[in-house]
Amino acid sequence: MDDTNGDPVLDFANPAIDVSDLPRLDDHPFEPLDPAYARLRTMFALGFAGAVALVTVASALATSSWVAVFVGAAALALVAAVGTAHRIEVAHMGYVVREHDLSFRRGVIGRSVATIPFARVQHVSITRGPVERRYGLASLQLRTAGGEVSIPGLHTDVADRLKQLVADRAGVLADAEIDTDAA
Amino acid sequence: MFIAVRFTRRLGMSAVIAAVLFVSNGGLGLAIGVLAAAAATALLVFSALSWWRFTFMVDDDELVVTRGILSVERLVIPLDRVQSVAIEQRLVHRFVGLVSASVDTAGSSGVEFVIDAIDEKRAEALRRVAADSRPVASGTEQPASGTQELDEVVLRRTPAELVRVGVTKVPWAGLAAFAPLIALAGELDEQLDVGSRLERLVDRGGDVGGGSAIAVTALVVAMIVAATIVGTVLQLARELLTNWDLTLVRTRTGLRRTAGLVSTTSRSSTIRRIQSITTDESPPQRWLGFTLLRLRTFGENDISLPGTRPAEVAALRTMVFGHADEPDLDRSISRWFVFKATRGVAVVAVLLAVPSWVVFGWWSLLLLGAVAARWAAARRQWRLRRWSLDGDRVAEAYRFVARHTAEVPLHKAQVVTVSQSFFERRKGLATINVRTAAGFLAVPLIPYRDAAAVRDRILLAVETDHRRVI
Repeated sequence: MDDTNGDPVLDFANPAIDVSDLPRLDDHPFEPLDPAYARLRTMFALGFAGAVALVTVASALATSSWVAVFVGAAALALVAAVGTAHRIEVAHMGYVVREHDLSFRRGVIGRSVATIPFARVQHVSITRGPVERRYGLASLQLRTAGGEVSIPGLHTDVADRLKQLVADRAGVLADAEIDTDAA
Repeated sequence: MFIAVRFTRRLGMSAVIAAVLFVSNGGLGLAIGVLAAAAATALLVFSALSWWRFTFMVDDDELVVTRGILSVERLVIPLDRVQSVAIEQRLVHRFVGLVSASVDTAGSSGVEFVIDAIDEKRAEALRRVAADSRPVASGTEQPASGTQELDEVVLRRTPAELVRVGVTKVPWAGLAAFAPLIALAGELDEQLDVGSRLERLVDRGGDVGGGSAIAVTALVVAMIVAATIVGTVLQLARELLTNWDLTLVRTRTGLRRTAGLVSTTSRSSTIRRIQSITTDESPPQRWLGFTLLRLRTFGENDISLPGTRPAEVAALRTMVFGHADEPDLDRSISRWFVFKATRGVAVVAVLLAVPSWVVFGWWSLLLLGAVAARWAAARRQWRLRRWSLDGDRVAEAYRFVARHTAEVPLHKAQVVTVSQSFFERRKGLATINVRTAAGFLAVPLIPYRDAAAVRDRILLAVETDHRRVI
């Protein structure tokens, strides 16, 4: 980094690496989120969709019986579809922890896998809302100097242990850092 | 004296202008006048109080700042945590011989606080104290004293070079920056009735040319030419004002950039804080062999260097990467890019062509010309879009008219994301997004295998490279 000769940092060098030999993230299976999270999400979605359906059916009943039957069927379909969509979405979320990084996968139609190396973590936090608490769930946030990754729907124990792990790893790696700015 | 100046600044120029307009319009009722005066007085008192309550001092190895009128805030910052001190002298400062110093710390991504209105010597002293207290790696010798004699000028811009930069910039971008002025001109135009005069001109042109279409075309061309000339002049003025005597100095602790004619800005950053290098150049700039180089740093003090020549680019690249090799930029993105870019325009064109068939008949097929134009443009964009993964960095370049390149050292990555839209997934493609502490670099529509390989390569670099990144 510094252009001082004989700097140990420059000896670090960059030997050519055969890309096919690299450890591949894709080789690791992703851990699914806690099943309770799928239940929570589905329940919330069903509650909302059900409320919408009830209002529609009620207003349809006020007009005519034929319309009411159709609207009722449509409302049921909506509730089922919303519930399934949320289940599928949660089923596609997952995370994987390796020795040096943590990845979070999400998305059903469009997909993404975000990876944060522990060495870049500046801040780890756990958030638990009132509903999450009832289900014994927590979400974990990893913040870096350039973006963050948030993993929802972890079991409280898992979240705590992950937080501890990340904080420990980040601390060790921070101590191992080499300050290159001093000339 | 200075309180008064601060007061005007706090009010803001827009408020002053509004007040002047208000008074000149003559619609000033007594009650409103009293109210305005009261508000102004309150602001003046507030400004004076906040100035009076703002103190700072350097105590051993700590910078202590207290501020606040009702709720008092006290900041204690270890000096070795101060990342940079940017010194700026605006016009109002210049009249009274003062500067403002913005202090960046390691913990904050932005400016932690600004010490407005201190004398230049004190600001320089603060910067020197902060620079001297930065930790020095064990095993390296610390220079006996003085940061000054180690300062080495990396580059300096002469007025002639700035003129070249200003003239070759994209002229209309300057107009956008001066949009409020143009709006003001529009107001003037209304007052002076320029519009109707132009109309008369058009009418006369219509008489001469035997068809007002020609006159309208001529008018549009004339307006574009006028906008270009005005834009160029504005760009030139802006370049000269902001970058007068632009100097980049290599100090013991990093880089310092000073520039400005009316208000002088001085920014410094450690080299470690630089997260990526980008270049931007218009075609004339490419022909003349210089570019706008930006050193993107963690925090708000990006170092922007217009008119940078290849040799200077190489020198700066050496500072950041340890070598001056240009990125390979040997890979292209998938050709589906052209299809994807054209598809949207095609759908809109067809949807518009069907109803307009009723009105225009066969002429509505001309709409499909837009599809051809978009296709040609997209093809050009695709052909000129390049990226590469070198030994220690990922780089990209794209160009339609102006050219842009970006280089990110692998180990500066903070978050790496491989994502696939529905379209990409069907074609086995993916987007790689590399986030650093200053912006991100994203390459879309590359084979999924390549994106995953880049991700794994970056993760390896972060894992094995223990250099600090911010």
